[in-house]
Order: sequence, then C-alpha cells, then structure tokens
Amino acid sequence: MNKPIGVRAGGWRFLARHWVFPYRRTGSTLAFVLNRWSGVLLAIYLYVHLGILTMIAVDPMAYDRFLGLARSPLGLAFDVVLILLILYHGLNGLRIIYATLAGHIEQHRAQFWAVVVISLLVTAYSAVLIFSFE
Amino acid sequence: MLDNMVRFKLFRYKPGAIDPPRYDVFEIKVDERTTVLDALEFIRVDHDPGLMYRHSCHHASCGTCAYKINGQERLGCVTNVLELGAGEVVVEPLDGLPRIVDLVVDMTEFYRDFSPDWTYLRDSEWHPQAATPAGVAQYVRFENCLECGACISACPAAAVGDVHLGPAVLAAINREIDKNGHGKPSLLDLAAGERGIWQCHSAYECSAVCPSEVDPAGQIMALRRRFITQKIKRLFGQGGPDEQTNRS
Repeated sequence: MNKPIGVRAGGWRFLARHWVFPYRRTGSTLAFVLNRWSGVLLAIYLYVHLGILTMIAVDPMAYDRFLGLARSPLGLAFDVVLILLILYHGLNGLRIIYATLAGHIEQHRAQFWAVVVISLLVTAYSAVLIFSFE
Repeated sequence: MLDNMVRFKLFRYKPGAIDPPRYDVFEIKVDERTTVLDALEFIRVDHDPGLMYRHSCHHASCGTCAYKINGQERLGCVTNVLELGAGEVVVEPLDGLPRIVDLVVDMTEFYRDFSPDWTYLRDSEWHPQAATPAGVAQYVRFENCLECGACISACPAAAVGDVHLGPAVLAAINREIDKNGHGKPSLLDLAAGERGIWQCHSAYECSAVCPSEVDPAGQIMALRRRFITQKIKRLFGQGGPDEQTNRS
C-alpha cells in the first residue's frame, strides 16, 4: 500500500466542520449531525438511567429524593427533551431505512423536514400532557 | 464588458515555509466569463508565481481542478466567479485527502481502491435503434465519474481518516456489477466489507456536490439493496455471489 505524501487535514476544526457545524452542507448532513448527537446523548442517558435505578438497591432514600427532583419542572423539562431526542433519532433511522430500501433518496430533504416537524409536534403534545399531569 | 473587483482568499500551505497554513488575499478584476480557475491563473501569473493548484482540461472533463470554493466542492474550471454572488471567494483544498501544498491534495488514497480491471466504458444513451457507422458495433461512452475527489471531500465518514472506500469507488463497484455481474472475488462482498457501504452515514453530500451526475449516494443505496437481497436469497438457499444482476 502506497503511503500518501502530504499531511492529512485533521484536528477538531476539521471534524467540527463535518460533524458539528456543517457549514455549506445540505440538510442531510444536518440530519446526520443531529442523529449522531441525539444518539450520543441517548447513550449517556442510558447509563445515567441505569445508575439511578441502581440507587434503589444501594440507597432507597436517595432514590426517593431523586423522584422528587424528577417531578420538579426541571425534571419534567428533561423528560420533554428526552422524548424529542428519542423521536428524532428513531424517526430519522426509519427515514434512512426507507431511503435505503425504497431508493428514493432524491426526496431525502423533504423526508428530513417531515421527521423534524413530526418530532416537534409530538414532543409539543407530550409536553402539554406532561406539564398538565397532576 | 463589465469588470468587477473580487477578493480571493486562498488557502496557502508549504511544508517548511508556510506552516501552519494561512490564507492570502488577492484582489483581482474579473468579468462575467471569468471562472475560478481563470482567477487562480491570473493570480499566479500577476501576483504570486508560487501559488500551486491542480488543473488540466479547463472544461470539466478531467476532474483535476476540484477545490472547496466558498465552502463547497466545485470544479474551478466551470465555476463562474460572479455567479457565486459573493464579494469574497474563498478557495481551499479538498478535505479528506492529505494536503501536499497550497490547493493540491494527494489523490493516491482516492485512486488506490479503483481496480484496473473495472471497465470505464459503458453503453451510450444514443437512440438504441440508431444506425452505427460501418465497423462500429454499438455506441459506447465513458462512465460519468471524473475522479475529481469532490465526493470524498464532502463525505462526513471520510473526515475521520482512511476508513472508507469512498463514494466514488462504491459507485464504480455498483456500475461494474450493473455491467458485468459480481465477478470473482465478489465485488458485492468487497463493497460490504469493513471499509464499504456500511461506513456511509447517509448524509448524501457526495451526490449533492458531484459535478458529473454520478449520484454516488444513490449507487451506495443500490449496493445496500443488492447486499440485503443477496442475504435474503442465501437465507432461503437461492442466489450466490456470482449471480448476474440486471443491467440498468
């Protein structure tokens, strides 16, 4: 294998241009970036969730205190964000499966915005239910 | 003829001399026919003979003058400066490939995975019933891909290094299967390998920037469908790596 000459562009700025701030890229890169970050946040949440459940076995009183925090407006807002992340990540996955299997990638921008709108609408409806729940 | 002054902000990098890289600014007069490649040539002749960039044919046939122009991969030879609609034109080398100097990148990695056995000719879209001249069995033409590297520069998977065959190679594999079947060893197995179709993040940027309507993203999705179909057929004891596929 030939070793390339030259120095590969790299570093945080390079990765950020493609993975965090997709300058001058199409909506589908935005879809990819949002999918990646929603996935990362959901993976972090999974471990936090498992850690909190472990509290039941270790310190039931601490778990009760956590439930108080979870029912606070801040905790409920966290639930709303969680619903948005799950909806976007899941629906975008279905969008990619559809584009792959059906081959209609020429419609991918419209499909992405449909995913965004559906995610926001369902999240808004969920937020109303969560904050009005007695 | 309308003349306009346009600022060109050019990426400069010369190992040992301009390192770390910087941007140099040149202000030059352009008219309504000036392309970005023309402008680079004016700058090199009139302002800085040390400016280095790749180019050859000047008519979007060779694919050597692909740069990032105002953040998007384009061919310099067919990008009209005034049609960019910007007072400043930023020209940078392609991403995803090692930089050699200024706007020049090393295309070795890009070309490496193209097999010399793959065919570069295909049936022409000429009317199928058109008569061919004596001695010509059928009209053929070159495949669309210019091998300019714009697709790999726009690909987010390529941003992490040489982990991906890349959109152009995968598109070529799909076209080769279209024309000549799977071959031995199976092209589909190569495409579905660890550097293949599953590295694609489905951002479809390759198709958005391709100057030659290759539609690499569509070809990668087609490869995925071929692979899934093959797996399902194998599951039920049908098909195999050597099955011939439909010509498209």
